[in-house]
Amino acid sequence: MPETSQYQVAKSTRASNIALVVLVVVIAILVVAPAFVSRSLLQDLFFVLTMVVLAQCWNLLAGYGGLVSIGQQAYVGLGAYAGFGFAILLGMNPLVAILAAGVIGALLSVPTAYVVFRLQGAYFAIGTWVAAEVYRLLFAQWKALGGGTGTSLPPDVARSIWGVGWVREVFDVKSSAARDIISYWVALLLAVIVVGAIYAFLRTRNGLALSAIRDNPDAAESIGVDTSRAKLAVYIFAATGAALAGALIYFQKASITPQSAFSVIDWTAFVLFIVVIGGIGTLEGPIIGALILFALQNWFADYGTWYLMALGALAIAVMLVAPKGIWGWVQARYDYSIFPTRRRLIGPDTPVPDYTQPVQEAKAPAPVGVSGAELPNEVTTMFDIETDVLIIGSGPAGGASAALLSSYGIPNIMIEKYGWLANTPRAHITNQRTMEVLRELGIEEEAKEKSVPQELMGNNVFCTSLAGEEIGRLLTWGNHPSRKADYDLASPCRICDIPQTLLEPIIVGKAMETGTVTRFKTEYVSHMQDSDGVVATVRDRVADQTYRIRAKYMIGADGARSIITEQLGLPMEGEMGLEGSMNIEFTADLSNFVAHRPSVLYWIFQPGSNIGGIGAGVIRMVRPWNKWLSIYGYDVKDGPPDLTGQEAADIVRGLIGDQDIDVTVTKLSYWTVNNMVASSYSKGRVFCMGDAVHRHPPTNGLGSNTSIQDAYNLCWKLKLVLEGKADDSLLDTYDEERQPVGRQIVTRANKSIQDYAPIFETLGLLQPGSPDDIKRRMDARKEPTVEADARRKALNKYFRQKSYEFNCHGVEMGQRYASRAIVPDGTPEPEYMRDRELYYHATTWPGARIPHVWLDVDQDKVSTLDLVGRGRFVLLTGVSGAGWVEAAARAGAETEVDVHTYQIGPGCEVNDTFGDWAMQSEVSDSGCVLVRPDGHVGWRAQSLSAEPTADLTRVMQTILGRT
Amino acid sequence: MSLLATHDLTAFYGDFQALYGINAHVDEGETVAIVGANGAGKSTLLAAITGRRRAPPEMIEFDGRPIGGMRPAEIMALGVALVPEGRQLFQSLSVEENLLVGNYGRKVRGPWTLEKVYSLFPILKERRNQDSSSLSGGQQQMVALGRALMSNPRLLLCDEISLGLAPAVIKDIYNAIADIRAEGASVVIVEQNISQALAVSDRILCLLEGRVTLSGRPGALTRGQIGMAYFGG
Amino acid sequence: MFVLDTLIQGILLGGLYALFATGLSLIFGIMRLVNLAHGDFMIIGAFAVLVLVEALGLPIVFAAALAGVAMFVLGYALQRLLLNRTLGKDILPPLLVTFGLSIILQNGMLETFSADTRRLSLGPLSEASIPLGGGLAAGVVPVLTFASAVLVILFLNWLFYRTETGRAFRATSDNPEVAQLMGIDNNRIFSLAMALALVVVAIAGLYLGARATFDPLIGPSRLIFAFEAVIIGGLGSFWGTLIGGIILGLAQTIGAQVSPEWQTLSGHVVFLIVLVLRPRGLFPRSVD
Repeated sequence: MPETSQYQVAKSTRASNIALVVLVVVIAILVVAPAFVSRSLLQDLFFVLTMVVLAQCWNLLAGYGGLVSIGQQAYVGLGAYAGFGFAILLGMNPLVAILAAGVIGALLSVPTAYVVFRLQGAYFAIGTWVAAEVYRLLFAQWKALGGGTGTSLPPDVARSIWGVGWVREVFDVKSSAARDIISYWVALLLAVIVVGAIYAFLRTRNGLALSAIRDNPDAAESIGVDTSRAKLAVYIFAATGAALAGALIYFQKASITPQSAFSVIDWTAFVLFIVVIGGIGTLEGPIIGALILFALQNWFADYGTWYLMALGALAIAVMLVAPKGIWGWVQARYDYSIFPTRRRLIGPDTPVPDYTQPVQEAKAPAPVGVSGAELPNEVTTMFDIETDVLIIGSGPAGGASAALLSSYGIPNIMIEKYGWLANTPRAHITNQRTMEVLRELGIEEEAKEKSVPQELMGNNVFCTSLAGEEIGRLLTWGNHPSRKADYDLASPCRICDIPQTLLEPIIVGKAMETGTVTRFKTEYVSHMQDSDGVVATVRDRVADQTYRIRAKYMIGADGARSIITEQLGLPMEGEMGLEGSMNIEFTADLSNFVAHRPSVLYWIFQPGSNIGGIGAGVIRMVRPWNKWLSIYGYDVKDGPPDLTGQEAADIVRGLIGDQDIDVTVTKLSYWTVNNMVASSYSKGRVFCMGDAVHRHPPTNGLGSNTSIQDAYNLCWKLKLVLEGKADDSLLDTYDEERQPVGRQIVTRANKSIQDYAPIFETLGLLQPGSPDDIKRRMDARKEPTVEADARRKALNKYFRQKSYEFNCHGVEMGQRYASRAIVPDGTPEPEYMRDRELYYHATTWPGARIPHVWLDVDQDKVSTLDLVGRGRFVLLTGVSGAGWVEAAARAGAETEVDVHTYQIGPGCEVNDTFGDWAMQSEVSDSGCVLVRPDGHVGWRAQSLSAEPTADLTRVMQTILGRT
Repeated sequence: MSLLATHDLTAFYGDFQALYGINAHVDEGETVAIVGANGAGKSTLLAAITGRRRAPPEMIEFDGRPIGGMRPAEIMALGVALVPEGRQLFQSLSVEENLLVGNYGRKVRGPWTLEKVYSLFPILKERRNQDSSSLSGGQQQMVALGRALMSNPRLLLCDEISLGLAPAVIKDIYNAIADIRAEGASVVIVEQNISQALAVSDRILCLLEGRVTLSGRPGALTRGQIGMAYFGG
Repeated sequence: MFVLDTLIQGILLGGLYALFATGLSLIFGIMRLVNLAHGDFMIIGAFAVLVLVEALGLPIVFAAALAGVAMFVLGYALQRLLLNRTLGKDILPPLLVTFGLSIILQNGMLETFSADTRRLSLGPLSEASIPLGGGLAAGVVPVLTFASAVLVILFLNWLFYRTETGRAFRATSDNPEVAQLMGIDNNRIFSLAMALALVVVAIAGLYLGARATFDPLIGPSRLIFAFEAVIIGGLGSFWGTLIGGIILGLAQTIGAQVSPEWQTLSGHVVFLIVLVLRPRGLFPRSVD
């Protein structure tokens, strides 16, 4: 069993623990301070505490959120005015009014954010200032609170503050002094809450993400939605804090004017200087800064303007000389932190942690180099980042791996060379098996919402141009009535069309939501392996910095131009660059041409459209019915033609057959038809998947689907091995099970291209000639002659042949695995009753995917597929299968791998209302079917055996590779 | 004396060492190809030569004077020009303005003028007033090359000029390189594409993980040697 | 008639705001720097002219020219010695440094010139107006302001699109790193841009002082007007900035007709509306 992690992540330090004790003591002293300090010192402390609150809020905004605002006075003023309004006009007790003012600040910050968030960077800063000015001018209109000249707090309101009487008695002071004490306590409470809340937030995943975003704004941009949500949250929090502080400050001052309450100098300039001088981006900095400002104020405030000038100069000097402020300087020098929010990595051999020294990495065992390189001697420092699984590439394979691993609770990091996910539609056909994986991940509905449904996919048209003659049509993707039933019966999910540009964000979004750390603009450089992990060197392309990630396993999903497969030296069969092809993305309203025959694909047979490419010219629907993509070939010997947008638009118009139609070409990319598969998918601790190991044309629409199935096959195995529940050898079965599938689909997709040639031949498009000649040859099939009839029959046959591309249900759904992780039950493989490529054959024979039938749980329709998966082994049995249920519990205890059980039948939790399971299970009522986490049958038994526990334990041990 | 020489040039990114004591030189009128895989240190080397990464003065010498640590603009003024990776044209400038920027503040006279660049790439003359962003990838590369030539450099550095271009266009660009060599400038070509580099260079330098693993005349090296030097192992 | 008068006043006021804004737009366009002390430099410009006129008795035209030269030198030095050190990926240093500068300038002026309000006198021209017929008239100073704004913009357009320096400005704006590789010294270009911007600021200060009173503390509010004009116009061209200034001027003039308290507020409101409907302004830059 592999050792558990040699490294541990530490957020606290011994120094920080000591500091925590000191902190508690300090707070306790501050609480009782009114008993022994003078009133004027108390007032000073009040000032310091409110400034700490404002500074912490601004620090969160600017230092962590990257939102440099110079308009926080908006919320101080708002809070102050709201507080006065609630207390004076509504008669609220001031302590309640402060809370209400905080709510007002929070509420108004949302519409304000709506406006100012439209500006970025420095412009955001000034925008917030304008917003504050608007609030100031508006409040100057509020006549009930004195308009432009402001107002004072009536004495009866001031007296009404709760607790004044009690404080007077206890401390034996006048009521004005009692008010000061209460204000001071509220300020102390507010400061502790704000600092505590920010500290707690920064230690959460979101907080750490925010820090990461601050350090890498480009990545922030590319992460998009989530960042803006985090930023909005930070903005609202800071607004609320400022409004609370504002209300408190002005209740203490007991008078208000718009000029002072919305003063940019008092509530932003000072605050900004506090944070910058103390140390931006730290929690300690604002506190130190507030104390320094207080000291300066006390000593030098009498110098008036000179004091302010000096303060400005000091802030400039700090920014230029020590941009991280005083605390930043302390931290860099002494590596000391009271509020540690960053995570540190501590190695196993690290001596009793000496926190003043950088952490050293333990001596790595002699590397068993796979990519050739050894750990360079110079590298003795720690690895920059550590995780369980490192995923290279965020396409369908990488993204699905990340989402699946995260759903299993396995820590993983995904890096992506570019700044965002797919930028071209690429893959689109999303078959039922893939939808089943999305269903398990909980994103089936989201994907469906963005997809074009099965009904609109299937009028596969063969024509001379979209506006020209239609030569034939094939109902595809299970839309022919005779095939519809096959598709519906096979799965709880429907096939659909969703371009990669829309699918990837859903998958990666799910992954990141559930724990994947994704680093965009980060490029894989190289890796080395040793006996307990992989160290990858990656380059942050934003900062142009190289760092290392240590993982226990690495997934190479870096696409058809994979560097990883090359570095691993995986043996590749076949050829790249067989044909040249280009994707022309364009927008055009083609609804006139397609309304009566909606489809995702229109195949164009014109002279020349057979050259290169994928057999014929294609117009592919990207979004109905105005976004499209044309696939057109070029002779690979000449290289890509370097077309201008105009020339590309002409190609598109030719395929549409309308020279006048409005076509806007949005993107042009060149690619080649490949026919290559890796004969082995993995080496050591690195597993390759997706286009990195199977490279083929888009015909049959299998690329993305197969990539996701690669991930679905590997990830549960990684999980079990990482948890120490399965032997490393389980991982070998990834290659055994998936490589044959890769070989099958690469062959299938390339064969589908060749199937177009006879159509061109039969239509007479291959011989040269004038347009009239060609027209004559094409029309030859319309004559009432025997020869023409033969042509018609031939064409019909060739079009029907295309079902091998477009209705290839058996290839889509019918994989049966054979490996050490499949335990035979002694029965022979069931025969294929129909064509094995075109038709899916449901069976529970070990190695096959569990057949789908609808079952009934508490009157909910539930698929067999819904019972299995989610990283678990599941045993399905019948009413007489109680023996298996008990055996599963015992085998689970024995192997430490839980086997969930369901009895299916009347009276059981799961009812076989339709009786389909009885027909489909292929085992008797007392038999069982053991399903692996990827939905494939691992073993089955026809009936209850003599020693079910022993049998099941043996089977599980075999699957887990522990025999 | 060499026009350009590096002496035990090292470079670090934080604690990651990118270059380990590179000794390289380019003679007057010579064309040197620097090849190596992704991450081998090629770009770091170019960044150091062009001043985008600071290096100790004595580690890099141009025309006999130490240039390490000088600012890019100063190094360029000495007669070095770079065709940057990814072309990096000025998007809001027209084709002709892009070319003219290449000649910014230059007093040096030399073979390359606007007319001469246009005769090398006639298509650019046709498009002289268009936005540079409206050009095809190959045409943009021609502008980038022309822009560098406009400064009449003694040393022309070309960073991955074939990246992302169609084979036919790459051929055109490399034909132009031959013409440029004929005018006497020294050329350094940084390439991932080995065969391209072999065809035009007098000498080849192979980098692997920050070290020179191979150097010599293309004719004297076998594919196997280069492959070993390129990928290691 | 009354409406027409309001429109004319508004448009002419827009000329002043365009002068405020052009310098801001210029330096943001070239080096993505927002100078929070921009408004205070205008006030410095106005005081500079005032001192030269009142203390040295120079004619206002010479005083303005001298102030322009002084501001050019100040701008160059400021950028070269201070602001260039703050430029980079992080937006905080330039913001904070210029904010600090703003506070230093305001308090420095307060110390030197006291908080009294001042005005630049152009002699008889100050009160003169040009009759436009139909009882309408336009003040000579506002017309001069507007004409100066147009001239400044014509000059900057010539500089940007017809000269080698202008090409270097635009190249640096597109991609400063590559511009350096063309032998363009960024530091010099940035310093030159700031020097130019401060000359424009000096002109703006001259008219600011001549049209109305000023004191050491009004810089920030003028910065906000300048900023609003830039955003309304979009970063596409200096002409856009002029139109942004005119829209702001109109909004304020019309607002002031409703109630004097609404003058500034209506300008802000128009700005916010533009921001919500057209976040990139009315004439955005095509490449960003």
